[in-house]
Amino acid sequence: MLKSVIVFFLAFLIGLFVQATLVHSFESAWVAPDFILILVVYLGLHHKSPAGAVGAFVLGLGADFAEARFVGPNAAGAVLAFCLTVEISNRIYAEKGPATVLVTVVASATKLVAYALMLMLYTKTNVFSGPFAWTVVKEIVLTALFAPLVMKLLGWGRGRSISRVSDAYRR
Amino acid sequence: MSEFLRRHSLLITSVVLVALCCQLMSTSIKNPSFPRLGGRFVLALLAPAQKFHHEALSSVNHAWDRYVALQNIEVERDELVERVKNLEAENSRLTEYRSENDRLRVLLDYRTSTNSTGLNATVVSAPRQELSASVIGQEASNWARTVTLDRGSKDGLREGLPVVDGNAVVGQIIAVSASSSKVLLLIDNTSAIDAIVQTSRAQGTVEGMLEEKLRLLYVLREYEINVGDRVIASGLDGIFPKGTLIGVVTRVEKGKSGLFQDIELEPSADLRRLENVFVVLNAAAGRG
Repeated sequence: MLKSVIVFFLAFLIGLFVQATLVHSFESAWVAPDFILILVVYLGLHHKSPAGAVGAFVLGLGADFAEARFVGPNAAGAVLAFCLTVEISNRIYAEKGPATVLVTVVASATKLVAYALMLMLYTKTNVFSGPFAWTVVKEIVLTALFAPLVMKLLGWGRGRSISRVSDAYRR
Repeated sequence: MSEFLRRHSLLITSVVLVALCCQLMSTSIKNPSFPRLGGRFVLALLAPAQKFHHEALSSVNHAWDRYVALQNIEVERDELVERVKNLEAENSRLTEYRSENDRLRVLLDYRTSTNSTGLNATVVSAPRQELSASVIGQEASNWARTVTLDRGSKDGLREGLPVVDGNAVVGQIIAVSASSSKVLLLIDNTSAIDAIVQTSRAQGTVEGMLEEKLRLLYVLREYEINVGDRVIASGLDGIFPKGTLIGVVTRVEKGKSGLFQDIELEPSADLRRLENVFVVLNAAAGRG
C-alpha cells in the first residue's frame, strides 16, 4: 500500500513537471497531454474502490493547487472521470490497447466537461467558443495517445503486470 | 443498511467527494489566498527540477547559437548595429520629452503633497525598480494561463507584484515560494486590469478570454474607439504602473442597444515566447 502511494506521488510530480515544462520545450503551444488524468484512469482500472476515488480526488486537488486559481474543479473532474472509468471497465476489458485509449478519451472528456461546468456556474465564464473547443479536442487526443505508454510505466513502477494478475487468476 | 452502504460505497464516496469539491470551489472564490497556499507548496516541489531543466536547455541553446547557427552572422550584426543607432536616437528624444514633461508638471503644480516641514512640494513619479527573472515553466492546463519564474521570496518577490516584458504587461504574481513564483498571465480568464484607451482616454477593465485574446469591458458607447488604438494601464488598481502597455484594439463592435461597446484586444507582450521578464518591485510607489 505504501509503495503504491509513493509511486503515485512520484508519478504525480513527474506528470506535472512533464506537462508544465518538458512538453513546452518541444512545442510552444498551450496544449499538453493531461498526465494527471492518465493517473486517474489507471486508478479507475486497477483500484475500483472508495480508496481509489479518494486517490483520484487527491490527484485532482494537487492539479488545482498547481494552478493556484480555484480549488475544486480539477478534483471534481477527476472523481467523475474515475467513476466513469470504473463503470466502463466493469463492462469491457479496458486494461490494454485500444480499449485503454477509448476509456481515456471518455474520461478526459468527462473531466473537461465537469471543469467547464464548474467554471460556468461559479465564475460565469463563457467556455463555448470555436478555437477553444478545438484546443480541448487536441488535449483529449494527446492524452489518449500517451495513456498506454504511461500506464505501462506505472505498471512496472508498482511491480505488477497483467501477466502476473493473469497467473494469479489461473492459480 | 450496512449491506446497502457496502454495496454502494464507491458511489456514496464519489458523491461526497464531488459535494466537497463544490464547497471547496465556493471557498476558494471567496478567499483567493486559499488556492495560493497550496500553490506555494507545489511550486516549492517543482521549482528545482524546472530550474535544472531550464539551465540544461539554455546550455544546449547557447552551444547551438555559438558554434552551429553562425550563418549570415555578419549581415545580422550590421542590421542590429543600425537598429541600435536608431533606438539610441529615439531614446534620446524620449528622454528629452520626459525632462520637458517633468518641467511642465512643476510649472503647472500638477501634483502636490505636504512634506515633513509642512511645505507643499511637487511629486514626480519615482523610477521603477525592476528585477529580471527567467520563465522556467508554464501551466499546461487549457483553463489556466500561468508561468513559473525562477525568482521567489528570497529575491524580494511577494504576491500581487506586476510583471512586465519591457513596457508591456505580462501578468501578476499570485503565488511565491522561497526560490520561485507563479505569474497569472493577463490572458487568463480570471485576470482583470484597470485600463484606459490612450487616444480617447476611455476607461474600462481588461479581462482575459479563454482564447489568447483580451477584451475591454465597460467602455461607454459615446467614446470613439478604433482598431489599432493602444490600451494602457490606468494605474488606478494600484498594481500596474500607469502607462504600461496592455494591448492593441483588434475589434470594435457597437450593438444597436446597450450601454457599452464590445472591444477585443491583442496583448502587446509576446506571451508564447516568454523567456525573460521583469518584476516591478515598487509599482505602488510609481503610480502617476
